[in-house]
Amino acid sequence: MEFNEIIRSIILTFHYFFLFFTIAIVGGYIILAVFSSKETVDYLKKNSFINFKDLIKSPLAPSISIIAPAYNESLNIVENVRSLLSTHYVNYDVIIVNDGSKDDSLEKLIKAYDLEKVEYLINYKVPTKPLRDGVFKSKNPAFDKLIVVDKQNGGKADALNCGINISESKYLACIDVDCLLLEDSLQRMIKPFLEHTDRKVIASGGVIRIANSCKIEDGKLIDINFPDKWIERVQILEYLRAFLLGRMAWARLNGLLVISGAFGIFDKEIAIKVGGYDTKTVGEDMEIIVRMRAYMEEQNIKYKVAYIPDPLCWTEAPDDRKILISQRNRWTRGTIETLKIHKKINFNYKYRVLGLLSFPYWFIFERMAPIVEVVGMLYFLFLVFYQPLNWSFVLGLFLLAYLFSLLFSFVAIFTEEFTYHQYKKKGIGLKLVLTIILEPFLLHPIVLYAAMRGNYDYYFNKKKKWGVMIRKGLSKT
Amino acid sequence: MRFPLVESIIWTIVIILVVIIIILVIYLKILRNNIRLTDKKNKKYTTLVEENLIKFLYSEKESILLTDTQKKIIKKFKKGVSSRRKRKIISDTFFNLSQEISGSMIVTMHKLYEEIGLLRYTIKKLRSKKWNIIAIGIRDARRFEIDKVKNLISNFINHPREEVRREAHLYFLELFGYEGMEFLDDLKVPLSEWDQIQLLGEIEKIENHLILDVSKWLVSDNDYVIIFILNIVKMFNRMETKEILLTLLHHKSKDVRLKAIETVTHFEVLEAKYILKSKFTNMSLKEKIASFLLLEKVASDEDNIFIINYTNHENFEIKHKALSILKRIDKNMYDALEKKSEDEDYNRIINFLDYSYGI
Amino acid sequence: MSNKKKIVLAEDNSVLSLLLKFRLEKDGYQLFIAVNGKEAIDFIETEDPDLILTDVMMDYVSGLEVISHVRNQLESKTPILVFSSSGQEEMVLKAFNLGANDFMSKPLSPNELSIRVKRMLM
Repeated sequence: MEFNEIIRSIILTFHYFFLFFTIAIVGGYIILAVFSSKETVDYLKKNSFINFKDLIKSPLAPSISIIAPAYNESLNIVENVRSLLSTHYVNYDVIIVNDGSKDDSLEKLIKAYDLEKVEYLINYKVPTKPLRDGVFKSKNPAFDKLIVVDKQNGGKADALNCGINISESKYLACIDVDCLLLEDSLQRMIKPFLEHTDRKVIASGGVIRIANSCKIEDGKLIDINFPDKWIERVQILEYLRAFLLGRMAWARLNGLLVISGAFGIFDKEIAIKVGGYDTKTVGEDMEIIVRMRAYMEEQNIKYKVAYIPDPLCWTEAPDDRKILISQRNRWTRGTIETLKIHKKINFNYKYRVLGLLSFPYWFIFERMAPIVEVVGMLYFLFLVFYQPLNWSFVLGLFLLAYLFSLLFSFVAIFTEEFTYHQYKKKGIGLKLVLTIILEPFLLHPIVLYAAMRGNYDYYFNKKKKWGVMIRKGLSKT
Repeated sequence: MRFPLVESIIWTIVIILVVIIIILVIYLKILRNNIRLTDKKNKKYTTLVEENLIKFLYSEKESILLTDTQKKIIKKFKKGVSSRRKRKIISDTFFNLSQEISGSMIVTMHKLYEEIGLLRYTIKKLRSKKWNIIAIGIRDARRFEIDKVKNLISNFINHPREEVRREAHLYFLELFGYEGMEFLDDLKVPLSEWDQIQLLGEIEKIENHLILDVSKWLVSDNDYVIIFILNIVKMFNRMETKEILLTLLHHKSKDVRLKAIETVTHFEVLEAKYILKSKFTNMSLKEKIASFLLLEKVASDEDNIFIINYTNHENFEIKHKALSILKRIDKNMYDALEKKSEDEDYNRIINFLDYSYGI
Repeated sequence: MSNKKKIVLAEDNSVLSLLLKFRLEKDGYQLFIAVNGKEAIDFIETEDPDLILTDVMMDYVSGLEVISHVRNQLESKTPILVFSSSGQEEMVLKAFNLGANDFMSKPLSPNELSIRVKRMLM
């Protein structure tokens, strides 16, 4: 009898735990949806009558360095650089950091842009791996904004740090070299830094849009299409939900913990003060934001991490399950590492919103959610065997969870339609609806599996290397 | 374990959610169709407005009276103005053209703007309670140079929303040129960098830059005004303010001091060198670096003792500047320096200066 | 068929190009309107115009590239007039270096343009 009592109380505890977790997640999502819609409306109101043209030619436009690390990107590097050089802004330079590539990237760049080696006095403000072939600049004045640095391989974070040392600008735009930036990206992303006088903006992050199936010519986005492959479609939906709902809401709360590594602008001074990117984690893009935030909180300076929802940065998403899994595996490990490095922030009132809201949210709903989900599934299996179930109840609950997830996807799609409406073509609406309905079955299991793999690799397989992204290249039309 | 009540609640919610989702699907279909349709209609109407506007402008005759075609076009525009969607298209088209052309056509277009009733809507916007509508109203007044609403707009100079007050500031500059800058006298609120960029963009368009005396704003109580004026001083080479610039090096605000150092550096003001050298030890790091940028331009052999003190400074930039200035102003003293040190940065700078860079 | 002189106009502001088209057609020319540099180059290659009017800052292919294409690739001496806005002085200098014949700064006066076009086509 004793034994049964214990089992019973364990079951009850589990019941309540899952009940509260579910309520908390649903409640959290509803709150985020409300905040994001408020922020979206405000953003559109604010920017509906802004003239960005004055900034382009102004002598007061602050200097920005675009830093793009490249590792074995020989396939598209020349075109990608050309696209970066055609950004509509005056006061900027483009620093390509060739991170010990084993291919002919450097030779291609030297040939295409008429580069020559120059002497460059580097101030090592943050530590990085030493240079390999050195610093290159173009002999052709048409490319005077371009700097190419060839260094020994040290990973993405190390390459970004090298770029930070080379840069003489006030702001850093850290991007993935294969991203396609629209011409007005810098103008829009730099605006938050310039418009606040009551607080310091330390970083601004952008939306990442998926460019698979889109038509791109000469480094310009010509036509936006909705891909045919389901694995690409579901990621589009996932990105819309994450960027238009999640991040927008966190921006409202000034609680953004991550700026996508594919496109973000940073205040260089603060980035250097905190020591640049951490080379020991695979989640360097999230880690640096958390560290910069922690620094500002500790210094007691009012600050903000801004967020620009305009579709400015387009990138290729994995179109293969294996690569997708290894990407998500890496993201999971990045999150775990970042949260672990900064665990003193968790539930620490000294860090205000950061310590009491964003950080715990990430810990509970991003870090722990996949684990809770798997435990829940195991628990459910246990129940199936342990006691007769009320199947109508079970089915009802599952449907409830499923329908709620659909509802949030719908909110995201409607936000997209009301704001940017990028998928204009007839017939895409139906495809979007189908994607919403199928996504929980198509993408979620993959993401869950990858997250568990990430946890496993983090604890038991420490030497795990970077996931390799095989690029087909954006230039194909 | 059976919970009949909970169970029926769950199923009720499930059914409600299914219904909501079905409605959402239908709504999505309608919405997307509508957006497409409106886009098409807007495009069509834009072409129509463009054609009519140009027809109007070219059928103008010598006489004061309007031709019949013009009267017809006015009638068409008047009809369009009553719809919000069309009004926006008309207003945008007018603006697009007025920005790109000059001469008598602009005057005709401004008259037309009043004639078809757009002015009325602009004034209505200015009286709105919503800040974003007010801002658009001011922008419209600015675009079409409506000076009648000057008094109304002067109320917005210190508006709590920066978007509104920025438009108001731009309005005064755009319509009244330098006289419009008088709003700076009453400015109590900050001017962000973004504000300054927009304002300077407008000031650049003003033709005669000499008539204005900016010195009264260099002693403003509002630090942002001082910084803004320092930008103007630099941009338009207003060297006559030199004496005030020198006093600003002692200003209580760090940002003003920094901007002042930057400005005297631009003009290579020799007197500033003595002031900055005398207060150097008490400066913030940023001011020190900025001062070295001035020294780089104006230092001479009399500064060698001062400079050599900083060749071992902990800051890389200061160290670099000090060494390169010393090499220029006093080669003998530079050559007498220890060329090897414990400090790697020092060695690299020396190496750069001696072998890679220059002679 | 007609012996009207042909002009290619590259300008991304649709109202302005319509206005200029109206005006120049009244003066007796045949106009080809391009909204970006790429279209302009197509027109230049197919129509072999007597005069090219182009804005310096445009999407896809800038006015500078149009000039360089005409002078270097096509090796044509067709007169070119560029439009520029304030703050683009540097680009105007580049345009002249590449072989532009004349420039007008925006905002434009249509009457003045008409006179300049007439003079360039004499």
